[in-house]
Amino acid sequence: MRNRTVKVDYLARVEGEGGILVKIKEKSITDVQFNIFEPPRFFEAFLRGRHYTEAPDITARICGICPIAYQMSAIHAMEHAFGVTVDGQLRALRRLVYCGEWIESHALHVSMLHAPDFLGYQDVIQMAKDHPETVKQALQLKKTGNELVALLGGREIHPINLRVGGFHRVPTHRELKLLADRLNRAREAALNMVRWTATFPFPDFERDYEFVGLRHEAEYPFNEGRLVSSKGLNIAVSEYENHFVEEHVEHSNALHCVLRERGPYFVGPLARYNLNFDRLTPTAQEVARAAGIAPPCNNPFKSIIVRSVEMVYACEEALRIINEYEPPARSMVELNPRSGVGCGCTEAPRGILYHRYRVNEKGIITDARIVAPTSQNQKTMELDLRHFVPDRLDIPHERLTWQCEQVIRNYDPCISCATHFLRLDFDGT
Amino acid sequence: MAFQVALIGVGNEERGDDGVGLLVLRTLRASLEGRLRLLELGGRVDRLLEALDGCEVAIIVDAVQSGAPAGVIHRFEYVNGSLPTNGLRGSTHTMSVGDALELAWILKKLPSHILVYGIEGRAFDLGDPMTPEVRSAAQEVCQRILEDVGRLEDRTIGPCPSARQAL
Repeated sequence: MRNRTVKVDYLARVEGEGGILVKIKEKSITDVQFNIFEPPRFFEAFLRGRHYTEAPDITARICGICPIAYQMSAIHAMEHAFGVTVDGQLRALRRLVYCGEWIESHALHVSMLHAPDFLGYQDVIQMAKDHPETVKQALQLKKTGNELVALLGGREIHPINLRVGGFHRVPTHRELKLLADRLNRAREAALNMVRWTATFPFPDFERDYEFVGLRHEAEYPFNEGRLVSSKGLNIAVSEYENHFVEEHVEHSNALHCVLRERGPYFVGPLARYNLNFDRLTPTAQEVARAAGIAPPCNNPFKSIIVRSVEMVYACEEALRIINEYEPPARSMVELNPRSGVGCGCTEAPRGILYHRYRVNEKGIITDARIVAPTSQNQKTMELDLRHFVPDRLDIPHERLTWQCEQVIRNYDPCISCATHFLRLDFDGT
Repeated sequence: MAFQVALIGVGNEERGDDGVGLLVLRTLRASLEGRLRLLELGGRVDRLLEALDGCEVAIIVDAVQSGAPAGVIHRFEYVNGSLPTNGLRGSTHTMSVGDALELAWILKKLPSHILVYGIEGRAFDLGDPMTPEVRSAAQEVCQRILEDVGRLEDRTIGPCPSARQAL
């Protein structure tokens, strides 16, 4: 039998440092490792001893792409600990800033990181030579998302305006209205993005996943809801640790997360979409059906279409919130810190992000736990490779390597939520 | 001629010398606030495209690693739509400055005048302190940028209209 070793020093177009090892023997996969070698950063440890008000700003530094998600999960966890509910326009503004983050993150991944895979380009630079208008539209979308985050978050990078109980400052009616025109154009660009990505060639690959995400009684989920799955899970966020466990594996510096009862699961846009299709706007539903991805969609490669559908939704939801906006009398609700434990789980662009904090009577954090979406998808990514490769051992090696990279990029992994590459090694005999 | 000048600092301050672009920008903030558009990009080089939008002149500061001794200052200047990639490949960021500028060039969104200061670094691991040679070079780059801005302002009337949009 032909021996072969495929090695890619690093795979671009993902966030973070890691690698993949696929061992093949007698046309069978004997081992798959999604190897995260980037050192841990100990955020949970240095949250200990800090005041609860600092948690949103400290955790926002975990990720340059989805800081709002970290802030939101931290804020909801603290409010849970203190027995505080934020509603009305403040709640709506939280959804609005989350719309901005989804638009910005999804536009980046769809157009600059993922689309080149399907069209056979090495990167977005090569793709832009043939598809300049599409890339321009995507950049415009991304910019609109940034503008929403900048307005609500105080600045685009490492936003600082969100706080436990609300905001430091709320926007004026006029400031929001100024964004409406741009959001209308962004909505059109997102619709075009759905139609464009739907034309891509997709590998014939499906698995029987357990999709996990938030589900709210009336809304497509950002900040709130119960944790549900496609295989019957239906729990309150506070029950998360009764059902999900983290395991250390030797080849990864990120803990693997599994459902205690059933093992690996899938979080992110495809999971949200399959669990909450009926909560999308009519336009988003219609364009998704026209794109040929009526749920359930079990092909992870088609997550690129789903991200585009979610951008349509986020633009429409942002426009709805802006149209209904009345500045609240106060930028935050009163709260009284008390000792206790609080949990928060929100839908980051890449999937559910769980935070749990213990605080003492002075509001000092004594314990923290953070479970990021990519950590939860690690085992599912490995299983995808394990199922994907055996049927494709006869295709040219370079092509197989490319497709394996695509398998990983389907998840838009943010390996450390901060850094920069993924190595891919095949060890085949 | 009124035009927009942006000073853009690139880098991750948690990675030692990689943070020198931000150090330069922060050092110059007090002198240049209101005169130019000041932007800190952190490691998000993909946002360079948005930062360039509407600029006629962009001054970009980033750390580089070409094998030269730490603290060596590289200066690249591109005018009138030439493709600005020489010497700018490779980055600790997801996308390099060269990539972002090439993409802007393809999309015809490149400013007509670009100055890039690359400061040679040595320590790029998480938690590394900035090396003394790089810190000194940052001071020299600040001085050179002030001179650049002075020359540019001699050709302008008033501050850039969006100077207050600084992040």
